[in-house]
Amino acid sequence: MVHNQSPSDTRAAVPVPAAKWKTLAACLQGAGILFLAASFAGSWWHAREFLHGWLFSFFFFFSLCSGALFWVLLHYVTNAGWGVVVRRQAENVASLFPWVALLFLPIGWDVFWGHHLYEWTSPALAHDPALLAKSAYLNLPFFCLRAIFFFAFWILAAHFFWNSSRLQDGDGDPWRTVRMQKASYGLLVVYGACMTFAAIDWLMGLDFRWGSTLWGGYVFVGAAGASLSLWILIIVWLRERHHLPQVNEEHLHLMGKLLFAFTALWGYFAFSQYMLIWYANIPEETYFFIRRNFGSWNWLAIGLVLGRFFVPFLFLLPQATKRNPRMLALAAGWVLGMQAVELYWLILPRVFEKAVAIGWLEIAVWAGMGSLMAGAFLRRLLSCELYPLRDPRLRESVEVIS
Amino acid sequence: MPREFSSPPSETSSLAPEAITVARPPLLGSPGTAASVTRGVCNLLERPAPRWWGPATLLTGLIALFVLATNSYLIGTGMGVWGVQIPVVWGFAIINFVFWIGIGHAGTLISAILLLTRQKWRNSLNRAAEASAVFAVACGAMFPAMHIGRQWMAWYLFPIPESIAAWPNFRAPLLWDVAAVTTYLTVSVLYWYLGMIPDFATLREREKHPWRQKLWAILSMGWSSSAREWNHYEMGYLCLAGLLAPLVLSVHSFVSCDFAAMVLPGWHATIFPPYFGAGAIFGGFAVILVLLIPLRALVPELKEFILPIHIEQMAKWLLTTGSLVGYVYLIELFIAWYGANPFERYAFWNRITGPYALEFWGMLTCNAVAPQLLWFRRIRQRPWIVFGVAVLANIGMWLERFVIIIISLHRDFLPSSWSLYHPTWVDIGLLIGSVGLFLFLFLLFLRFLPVIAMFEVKALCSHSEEASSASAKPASPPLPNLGLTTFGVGARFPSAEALCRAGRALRERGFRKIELYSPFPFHGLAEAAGHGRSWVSACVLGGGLLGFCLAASLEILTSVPRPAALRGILSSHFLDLFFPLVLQGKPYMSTPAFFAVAFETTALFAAIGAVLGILLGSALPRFHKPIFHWDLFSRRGQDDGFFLLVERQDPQFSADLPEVLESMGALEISAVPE
Repeated sequence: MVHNQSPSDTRAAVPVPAAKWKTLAACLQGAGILFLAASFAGSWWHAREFLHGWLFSFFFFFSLCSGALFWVLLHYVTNAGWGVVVRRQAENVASLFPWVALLFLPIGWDVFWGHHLYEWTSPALAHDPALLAKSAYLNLPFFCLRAIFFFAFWILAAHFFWNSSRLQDGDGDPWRTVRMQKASYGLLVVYGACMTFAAIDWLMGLDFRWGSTLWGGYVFVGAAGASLSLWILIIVWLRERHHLPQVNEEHLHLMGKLLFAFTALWGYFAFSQYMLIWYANIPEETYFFIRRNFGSWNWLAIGLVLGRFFVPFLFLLPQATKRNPRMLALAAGWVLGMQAVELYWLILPRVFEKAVAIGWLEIAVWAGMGSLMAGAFLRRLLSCELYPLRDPRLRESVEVIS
Repeated sequence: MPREFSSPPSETSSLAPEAITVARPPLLGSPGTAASVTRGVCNLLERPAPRWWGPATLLTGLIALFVLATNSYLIGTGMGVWGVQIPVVWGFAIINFVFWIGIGHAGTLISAILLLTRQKWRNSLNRAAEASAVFAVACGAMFPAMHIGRQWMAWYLFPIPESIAAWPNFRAPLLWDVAAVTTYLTVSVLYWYLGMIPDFATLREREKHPWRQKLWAILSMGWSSSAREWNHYEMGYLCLAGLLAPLVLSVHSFVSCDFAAMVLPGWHATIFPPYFGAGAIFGGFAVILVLLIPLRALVPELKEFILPIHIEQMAKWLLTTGSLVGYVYLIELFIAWYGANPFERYAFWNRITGPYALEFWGMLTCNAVAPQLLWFRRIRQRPWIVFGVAVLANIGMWLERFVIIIISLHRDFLPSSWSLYHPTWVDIGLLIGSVGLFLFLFLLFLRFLPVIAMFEVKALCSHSEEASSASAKPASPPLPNLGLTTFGVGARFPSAEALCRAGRALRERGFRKIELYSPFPFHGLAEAAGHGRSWVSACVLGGGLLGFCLAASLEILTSVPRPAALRGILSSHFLDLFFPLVLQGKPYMSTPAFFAVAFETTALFAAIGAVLGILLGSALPRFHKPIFHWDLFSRRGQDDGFFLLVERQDPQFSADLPEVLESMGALEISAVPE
């Protein structure tokens, strides 16, 4: 604790109730496993619905972890100083990637044996000319190889940043910061490629006939915004419980500005993709949106335009809401919820073709994964300091003025 | 102020090498004081022009005349003098248009987006960048005006129904361009001018020549750099930056819709809007590097402000945006293959191997491959290699537009009409002329306007010099007599901190009619002077709402049939509003297609709101202020002095005020006459 002799640090931090949280984490993970086990039982009757619900939940938590890794990478790539004090929590979220990889296994099973999710994996289509035209990319070995590569990269990269930062707490070696920074540039490039092709493989691949060049960017921007929301929620939660008094309104303001920017960016990407397909009006593209504007799904689509863009955009526009922890947490929670709605709207119309429906299977899978991940996150939180104690930029971060 | 990480003394020795690697480098050369900044920048305008300037300006001016000459020939003869034909109906003019509009973007990015993301290194670049943005957008806007054929009817593009009895089609991407480019040019000029107001005030105080001084005085609108002015100014400037950030992306996004909204292989791709945005910033940074690197060599004084670190930062941006553009090339190719549409696949195969393969590979090399050199710090630190990469990037960006436009057009859906595009000398003359015009305008800017934003660079100055000047305090001058004719008492303080302390202390004593003056704004100035939060943001919101309502009602009313209730009434100008057209099978009410014009008008009115808000809030223009009569203030108020003024009308005003001020650390105290 050398570098943080700042005025705000004079307020003593309340130590984290480690024993209590450890029990809570165990309970959460136990409950998560129970939920998931129950939903597995349900898969016997509704395998297709179960797997789509699983993909929805998987992608939701995947987007949170991958977004967190992006924020960590961005911190180093831009040589940033302001975010040091909050960075650890993003590192913690990103370091949960092994769990995400575990959650991918049922999808991997479906690719080989179930064929409920990805039509192109089905042997019935093996001689379809539309599929044959792209079978150099869409084939099982390559698909698996890509998935393995994506996860290996994400797990290793997230672990590298989490671990180096944690070790720096002990030895205070500023060279670790320099090394992480040097690594971050190249890693961001690989990250961008992985994110694009993961989005293409796992979401766009649901319908192998449809393609959009913006897809990777669109999914990424949504993931980064949602992950930022989770990050804000964690930070506000720790701050309100006085575990992290080093975080002040300036940090919240900066994070609020980023959330505002990513809300606008999501609007930009989503609008670009929708408007250009709507405008050109080519049947082979428009059916993607027609299917999602069908019946009550249309209300969800309009709700997304309002809820994912207009509501947080207008809400975060004044300075006051970005600096008020409760207001900011409200906006962040809303955006996080909207990310779930968006993924639901992207994935579930394939099961509930006629109208919006939410079955207990989706809820059980989502709650199960959520509890499992929350428990894992709590364990991560307890396993290291709440902020990088000896990061060379810590003082700059604590004293930042937005 | 550059924030350097300083390790605590106990660990200094062990941390020495790291302190270098993690430290923030200084952004200003020595000596880096407010006075040296003023001297350095004003000197560029006050001294005689360098020897190369005259011939260079003459030469570029002559080249710029190409535009006039070729355009006269074009008007006199007709569009046939261009190389455009069927199927290549868009030739050099549209390529040049997209090229120049794109270049403007980096200027706005540097001045607005980097301001919002608190990148302080932008402070010494933004003026030149904004200037190049304005000139580039002006050069670009020229081409579509020519391309419409009958240039004297260009006003048909705007919604002026008086004599045409027709309304523009708000659902057409070409009209979105009109709205976007007009708004962008207007807001960029406003932002540019606004940024220069404090610098004009500095020039006004330094200028000896009476007429030129009058000119600076008018241009600066009586700016006195008071805390009240800065308060509104900063808020308005920030709001404008916030408006420009989405605006800059929207402009090239809507330009990209000219292509992407069409059903043409190679054009219709959803990634086009962000892709054009990234490409525009790439090309713009390249142009700024191409301008600034030789300029640093030609005008060595600029090396105090534009350091190698600036070149390096811009090189990093060049690398980032170049890589993004490379990413898009690859994704486009991949999705063209993955989409398995034979026409789309052919269009890209034709790019790679067709008659224009050289242009395609040149584009790929210049835009995506060459910037990869900049991964290496050693290369980023060699300005002339960066210059070379930037030149390649400019060529590459022009080629990119050539590839998109010409290659997709020259083989259309009717193979019997396929033909190659051959530019004529008029096309080439216009391109060269536009380059000449751009350079000519930039050379004029160099000579007649402050190239560096002085007040923004002053905010980077180290404050140590002021502290030392405080210790070397001259013997106190005699305290002034407060006669009846005085307006108030003025005092100069050695530093920003001392000024704020004094302001706060006076306010605690109950003084209300005080004002602080600083040559640059800083955190806490308005609060120390007792000013509340600026309400300029409310003006921006009001302007935006007004613009949105105007645009939305115009678009909706002109697109729908006349409501039944109004059918019986005879036609009038008001009722001529209803002008329903069925176009491209789109519904009358096409929200996605209406978005562009509504957004641009909102931004335009919001920006005008910001400027009006600043002017109203700071009571500008106002050319006569009592404090201007104070000689010391005139000499140093816009240069490096921190001043405080207490008005006589203040109820707490008393004869012992000079002593009070002196006890607060004031250096010079004087009565300010009415």
